[in-house]
Amino acid sequence: MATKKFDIKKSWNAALFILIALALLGGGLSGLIGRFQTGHEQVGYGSNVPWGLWVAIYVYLVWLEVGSVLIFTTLHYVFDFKSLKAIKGLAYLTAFTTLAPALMLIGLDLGHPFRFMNTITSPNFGSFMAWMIWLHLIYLVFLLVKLALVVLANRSRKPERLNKALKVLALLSLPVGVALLGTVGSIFGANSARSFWQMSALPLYFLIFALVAGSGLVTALFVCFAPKSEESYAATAGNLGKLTLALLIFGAMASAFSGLISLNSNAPAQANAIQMIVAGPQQWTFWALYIGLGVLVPSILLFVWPKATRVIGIAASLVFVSFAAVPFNIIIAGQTADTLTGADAFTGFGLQLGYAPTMLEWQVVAFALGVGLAIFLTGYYLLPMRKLEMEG
Amino acid sequence: MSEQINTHPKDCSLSRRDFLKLSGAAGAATAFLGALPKVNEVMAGGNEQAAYTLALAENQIYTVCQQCNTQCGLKVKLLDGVIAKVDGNPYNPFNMVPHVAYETPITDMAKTEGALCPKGQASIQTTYDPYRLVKVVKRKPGTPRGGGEWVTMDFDTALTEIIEGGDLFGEGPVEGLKDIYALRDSKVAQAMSDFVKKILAEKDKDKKAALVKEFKTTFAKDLDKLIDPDHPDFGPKNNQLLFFWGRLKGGRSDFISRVIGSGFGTTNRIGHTTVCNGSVYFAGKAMSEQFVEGKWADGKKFYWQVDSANSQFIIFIGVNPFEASQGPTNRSPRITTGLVERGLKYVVVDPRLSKTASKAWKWLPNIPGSEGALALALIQQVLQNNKHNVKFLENANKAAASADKEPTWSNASWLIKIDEKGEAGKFLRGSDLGLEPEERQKADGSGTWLFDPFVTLRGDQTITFDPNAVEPEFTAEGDLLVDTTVNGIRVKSSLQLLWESANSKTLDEWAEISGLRASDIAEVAAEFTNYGRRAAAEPHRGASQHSNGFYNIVAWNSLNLLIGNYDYAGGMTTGFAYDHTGSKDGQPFNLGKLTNGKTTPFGINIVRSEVKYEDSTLFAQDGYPAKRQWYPLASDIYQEILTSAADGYPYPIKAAFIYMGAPTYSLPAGHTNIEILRDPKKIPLVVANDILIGETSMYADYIFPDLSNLERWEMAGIQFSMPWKVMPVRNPAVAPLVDEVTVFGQQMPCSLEALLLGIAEKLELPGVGPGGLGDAGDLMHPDHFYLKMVANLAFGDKKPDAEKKEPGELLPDADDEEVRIFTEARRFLPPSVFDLERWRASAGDEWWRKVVYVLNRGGRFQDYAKAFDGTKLKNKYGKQINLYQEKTVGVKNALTGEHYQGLAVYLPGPFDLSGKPIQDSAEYDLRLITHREVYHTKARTITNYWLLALSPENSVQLNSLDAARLGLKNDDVVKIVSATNPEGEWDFGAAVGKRPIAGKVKIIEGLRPGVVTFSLGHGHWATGSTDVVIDGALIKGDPRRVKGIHANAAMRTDPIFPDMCLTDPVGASAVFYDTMVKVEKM
Amino acid sequence: MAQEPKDVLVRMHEELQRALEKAPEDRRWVMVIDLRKCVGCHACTIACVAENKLPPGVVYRPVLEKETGIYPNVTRSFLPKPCMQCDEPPCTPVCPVYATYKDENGVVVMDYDQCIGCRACIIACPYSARTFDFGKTYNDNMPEMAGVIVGQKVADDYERAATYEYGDERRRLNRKDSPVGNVRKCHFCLHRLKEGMLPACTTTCIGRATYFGDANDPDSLVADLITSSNVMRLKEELGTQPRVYYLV
Ligand SMILES: Nc1nc2c(c(=O)[nH]1)N[C@H]1C(S)=C(S)[C@@H](COP(=O)(O)OP(=O)(O)OC[C@H]3O[C@@H](n4cnc5c(=O)[nH]c(N)nc54)[C@H](O)[C@@H]3O)O[C@H]1N2
Ligand SMILES: Nc1nc2c(c(=O)[nH]1)N[C@H]1C(S)=C(S)[C@@H](COP(=O)(O)OP(=O)(O)OC[C@H]3O[C@@H](n4cnc5c(=O)[nH]c(N)nc54)[C@H](O)[C@@H]3O)O[C@H]1N2
Ligand code: SF4
Ligand code: SF4
Ligand code: SF4
Ligand code: SF4
Ligand code: SF4
Ligand SMILES: [Mo]
Repeated sequence: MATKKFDIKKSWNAALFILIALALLGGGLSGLIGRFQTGHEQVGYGSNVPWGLWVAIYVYLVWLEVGSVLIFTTLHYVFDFKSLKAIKGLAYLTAFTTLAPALMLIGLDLGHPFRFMNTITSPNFGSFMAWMIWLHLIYLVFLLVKLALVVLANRSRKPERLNKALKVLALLSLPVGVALLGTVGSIFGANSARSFWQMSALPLYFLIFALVAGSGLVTALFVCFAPKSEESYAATAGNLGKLTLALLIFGAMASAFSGLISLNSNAPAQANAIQMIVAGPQQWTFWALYIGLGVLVPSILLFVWPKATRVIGIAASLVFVSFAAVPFNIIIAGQTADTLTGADAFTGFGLQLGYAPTMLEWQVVAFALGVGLAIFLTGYYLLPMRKLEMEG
Repeated sequence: MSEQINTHPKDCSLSRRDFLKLSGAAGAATAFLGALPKVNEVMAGGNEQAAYTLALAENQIYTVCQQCNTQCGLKVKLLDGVIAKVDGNPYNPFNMVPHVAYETPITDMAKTEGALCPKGQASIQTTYDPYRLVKVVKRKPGTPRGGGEWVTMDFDTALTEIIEGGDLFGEGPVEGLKDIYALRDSKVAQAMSDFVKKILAEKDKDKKAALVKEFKTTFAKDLDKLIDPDHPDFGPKNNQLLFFWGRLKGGRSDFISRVIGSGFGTTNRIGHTTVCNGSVYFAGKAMSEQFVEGKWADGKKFYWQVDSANSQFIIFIGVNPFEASQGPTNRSPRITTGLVERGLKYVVVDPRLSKTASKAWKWLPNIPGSEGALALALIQQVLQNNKHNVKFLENANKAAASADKEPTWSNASWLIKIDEKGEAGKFLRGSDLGLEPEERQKADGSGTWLFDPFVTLRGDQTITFDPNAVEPEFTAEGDLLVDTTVNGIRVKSSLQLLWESANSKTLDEWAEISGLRASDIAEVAAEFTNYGRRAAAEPHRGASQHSNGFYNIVAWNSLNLLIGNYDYAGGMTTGFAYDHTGSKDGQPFNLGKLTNGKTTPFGINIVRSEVKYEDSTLFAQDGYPAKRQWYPLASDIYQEILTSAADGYPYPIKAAFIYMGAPTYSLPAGHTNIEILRDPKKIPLVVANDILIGETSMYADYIFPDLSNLERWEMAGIQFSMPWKVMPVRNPAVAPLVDEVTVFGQQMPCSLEALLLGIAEKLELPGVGPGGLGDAGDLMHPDHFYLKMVANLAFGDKKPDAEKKEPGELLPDADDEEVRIFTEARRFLPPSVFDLERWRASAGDEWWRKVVYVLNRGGRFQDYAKAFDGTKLKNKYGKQINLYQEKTVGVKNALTGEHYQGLAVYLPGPFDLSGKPIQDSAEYDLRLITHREVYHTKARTITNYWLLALSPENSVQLNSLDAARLGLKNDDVVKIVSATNPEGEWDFGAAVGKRPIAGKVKIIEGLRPGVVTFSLGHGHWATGSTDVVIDGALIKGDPRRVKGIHANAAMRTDPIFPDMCLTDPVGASAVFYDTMVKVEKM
Repeated sequence: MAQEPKDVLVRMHEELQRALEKAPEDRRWVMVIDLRKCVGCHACTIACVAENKLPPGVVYRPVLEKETGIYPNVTRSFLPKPCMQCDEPPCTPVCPVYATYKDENGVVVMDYDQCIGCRACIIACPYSARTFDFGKTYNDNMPEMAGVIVGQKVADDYERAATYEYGDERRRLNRKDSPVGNVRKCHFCLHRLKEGMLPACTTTCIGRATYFGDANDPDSLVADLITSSNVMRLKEELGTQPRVYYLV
């Protein structure tokens, strides 16, 4: 395998990423403005499918955010993968990077974004949504502190105490992360009204999927950013690849089984939902994105070239990127009609049964991702974490 | 001069609060503010707790809905002068069952509301339609009719143009009304009218010719005022003004009669009856003809419907009371309550599973057009099993009926002479038995007439009788089934003829014809006679709008006669109105008489109704076949109006006014009317009164904006299924959105009335203007007319008689509180509409408080219990019902000279106007029908977006078997083509162009295979659905309004008259359900 | 002659006045819908839209229609579906901010000013009884030509007129103020009840298929009806304990 590696540090790479970020921001800006000017008048979700692309991407970003940190922390601190140290800062930075667009999307999804504060001032702790928000905020605090500790540790001459604190915090944040994932899963899974979600042990799946996506992200980060000079580089990359493959296959098998059970369970709503995923108008997201790019291609790559670090990087990237399709599928399908909707009984904006994201929704997603990318680039170039990494 | 009246404060919360403070209502309002449940305090948030002012009587005006023809009562609730909500009027029997006592104070009813159907609930949107016209528009000179280009015009200028004529459109001179208003001398008009009556009445050809000659010499100096002096029966040139309408109710109809009829003097004032349910009306008329001074007369244009609230068993034939049928609102609760609480059973005869049919005991999806066959099958079964009401049927005259306390009687036992060919003709009369006719005095004292009695048979005794005799000694009862010879004359009884007609086929054959099972028919027949008089059969459009429609209806009415259910609770009833015209003894304003002059209209009308071809001067000239059909038994023949005018038969029309009708849309083959209207040579001047640029008014030269139903007056009348005496009064509930104009120096909103008054002012027509109401003063503002009508209603139909201690029907005065509320509630109406002093003066001080009493309740309504009299109904038809119609037999088809039949028969349809059967080629393999959905009406509800939310688009509905055969799936777009529209196309003219008759497929099970249907109300090309240009500015059409299919253009035209839909020659119904079509995938 | 002495609307109106004299916790509002009498007219849907000035896409009481069977053995059925006002509502616990809850009247209400518009409650409702207010009006994008046609500004007056849901006066004057951006639902017409008026869907019902009243009043019509043998509730198995009963 060639040793020439993709290297973001090269200035043309930086330029490329900045360009991408600018493109996302620029392309999405009018959508964002549109969202503020016209509120929810130009969206594709409605009252029968109330949660659309933004919620799906939010969930996806949470998976990445929490999954990557879970994988990193477990491997690094629990299983003592020493070489992962190299991407410690980056792992937290990426997590933080995903958090910003996630919160932005979920905020814009609200009918009254500026009443977000109500969830802080008068939370209903009987609702998973309130828990999610609070856990997310706690998680955010953890992340920020961790990030700060990494930065401080990098600057400090005697980083041991800080690193120790970091470890404690990292371990402490593990259950918070798991709880957050579980809560997000429960927001969907606890709805007796939506049997598809209820049936599929959703919180557990959310955890699994978050781990798959997270391991993909961590692997990709490692392959990209860890110093190739280090001798353990190839071995670690290989191990990460194996882990990703294992999680990937486990996740795919588990969901396939649950899908099959649903299909054969005499529960029409669930069968409909599965039908919707595999044969609905957005089936490409399932077949092409998830099954094709997200499962088959990376599995083959990882299986055939288990040691080729570059291939591992590509495969891992494919996994974490294409996993965006998974929450989309789960979430939309779970909202497919049951008998009482009466979409024919009264028609009107938002009363249609199906869902297809509108241009405006895509634009807002693009803008949010652009913001994420911009944060990453800013952090990457301006915060003193690169130094550490370069120095090994 | 014109200024928009619109007073629409966007934010006048202040004015409302001020009002609350000022009015006595403040107390009430704060009272409930204080008593707010806690939840509202918790939830008040940033918003202050608001008074629900809609609950105050001061914010409510009672008026009448007109989303469909049912005319239910409305309670309009206003907020700052904007209609915030409408609900049902609890005083009105259409909205409540039973309705609340009329005397209930209105403050007690402020929080009670009656029911409304979805169209009623949405009626706000008809008034607040962004596409409504505010100003008069004129077709832009140089552009064609239907070109979609308009210029606005001042009301007065437009009127002047219409009156004066000239080169109005750059197409050459157009004759104005001043020239058409040729005969102006009231004495001459009256004299000519009397003379023409004589000419028409003369049966002898030569004598008729002589009379015409005499006419010409008598009126030599006025002959230039006639359309054709050789045909004085065409009447004066005034008849070349045609005024026709779609939906018209009392009050406005009186206005039109006064201005256009006795004012302008044209006989051509024609309505839309035949497009609606013509043969139901004219079968009713034929069966209600009475023997009056030697002639069959006084037949009422009316019909009977079931008193569904009290019935135990009903057969609904082609009628859908849950969704249409003059009233889902009034009829549904009576039927559903019957179903659940009274064990009502009903049958629905309809090829389509309507919502009514979905709850039926039996749904009989018959073959369209076989309704008469089914009725005869039932008649056969009833008679065969001797289940008919012999006692009732034997009564041959009023005396016999009275002796049995029967409100009605029939001619079932009367004897009819049978000719050599075995055909039934005239009744056997005393003179046939050698009796000398008796000379009697005419009721009006104008002379004598010869009474020649009718004959019935009892055993072998002939009994001669007077149908109208009341004295017990003249009681006549006769045998029912008679086929014998009397005095050498072959005779049969009416019922015998019916029995023979019913036996012209076996039960199995009838079943085969109607596509039903014989066992079902037998079962229905058995059930029908199980409930005494509390059973009934009600036919409507699905039975009447066929070429055999008249006889279908006659057959079902005859079935009812067999059980004698007329005027019985749960049987057949009819409508009863309080007289608003003041013709009853003692009523304050006899508006028919109060006038300062008139131009008596006379002559044959353009659709040749109510006159026999043979009586006209044309007959001598043309003989059979006539150039077009004549309709002596019908009137208001909508489909003949524009086609005859275009044909110039019997004479050309120079100017046509159309009010609230859209024949281009509503008629079968309505596209033929578009073609006529588009050609200014056919009718040189077309003026429409419409609330917007509609499906027909878009082809007019001028459109005068009208008031919407919530802004105007009308005496909304009765429906025949409601046994109470009523008169709902439509009165202005909201400030008009149209221009204000000045006529006779009076400010008024642009409206039908303003248009009529304007014409009257400019032409100085009699009966209008200063002193127009004779002793009752001026008619210069609509109020002068309408408030007098309300005063008449307040008086009632019976005057109090102190001696006989009869209270009469005089209403009490409204008390001070009611007057205050009345006035407050109208505070948002501009003075041009509501001026307390003008109103009071119009009604007269003496009547004013009573008028308030009526208007506060939205009209006058008889109390619930007053409609019932034991098992009978209190308000009665109470006359003879003809099983055999001698008058009908006396009428000949003007195309063939063959006489019509006088009793229930089954005529296999479809046939053309000469009676010749039509057989289209086999490729047209589906029978096209049409139906109503509860949430749409014809050309109007497309503007109601709430209703569009229920059904944005209609569809082409097919049974799954047909769909499978044709390889069609749901939502496939298909075109409907027929033998007379093989392109399957509408041609809307210059602006809109051609469009296919196309819609989306909907596959259903609830439809007889072989039948295809679509619902009424979609497929628009005007009414805001398509772009128009006014004063050079583009007004974009609303894509929501253009959706769906309207397949009337596929409906068949008559082979003899390709410009007109198929038509029932006798009852004149426009035929909707007799077209075979092909459904083609596009 | 069997003649109803009173329209049920009048009877229920009288019963309502009686119920209002009680403390809220002593009464139990229920709705009973007799499917044998429902003629599928959708008047209730529109009456509710009109009463509450519901914008496009918002509906509190659709009437579902269904055709069953094969020709000629076919029937059609109609199911009016307001909020069930569940006694165990799955929609309220999911709300992160207590913006929807069962009030002391037993009605599941919305606090428009508190609601953040997250739509979790729509997701949670098994009856699809909630819809989101996207900020539309029926007269959006209508033409304007003052003095010639009525035009949008005047035509939409009725849509902008005040509504009184929950006793608050609100006008729809822009696309950002509540209830735009909120989830909306049937509230048993609390604002009318407090006035002593029956729900709008009930009074307009042309099939007289909708009954409303206090089930705790043993003499009330609804108390009588909900004990009949042909009564059922939707998705009873979910344990939501609807307060809307159906007669079948
Ligand atoms: N396919 C099909 N066609 C049918 C029927 C059917 O069942 N199926 N039914 C038929 C029946 S029963 C009837 S009665 C006819 C009715 O047919 P028409 O009597 O012709 O009535 P509409 O179609 O209602 O047309 C009314 C017109 O009046 C105008 N208008 C509306 N409101 C007002 C107003 O307030 N003032 C004035 N001046 N004008 C107004 C509108 O522009 C509208 O175009 O339709 C018939 N057509
Ligand atoms: N919603 C609504 N209500 C209305 C109106 C409206 O426009 N909309 N208009 C009002 C007016 S003007 C009228 S005249 C009445 C009309 O009231 P209806 O006569 O009750 O109404 P339609 O729907 O025209 O016809 C009734 C039924 O006849 C059936 N039918 C069609 N063809 C045939 C046939 O060949 N044979 C038989 N047996 N049945 C057939 C149709 O399927 C339909 O169910 O409704 C009034 N009420
Ligand atoms: S039936 Fe409906 S549309 Fe017709 S008048 Fe009555 S309320 Fe109005
Ligand atoms: S949409 Fe409003 S009421 Fe519903 S859960 Fe969210 S905040 Fe609560
Ligand atoms: S029907 Fe739905 S919205 Fe209504 S209370 Fe029950 S769960 Fe809540
Ligand atoms: S109770 Fe009121 S809010 Fe609920 S559906 Fe009926 S009308 Fe609408
Ligand atoms: S108003 Fe009454 S009859 Fe009509 S759909 Fe609603 S519940 Fe049924
Ligand atoms: Mo009609």
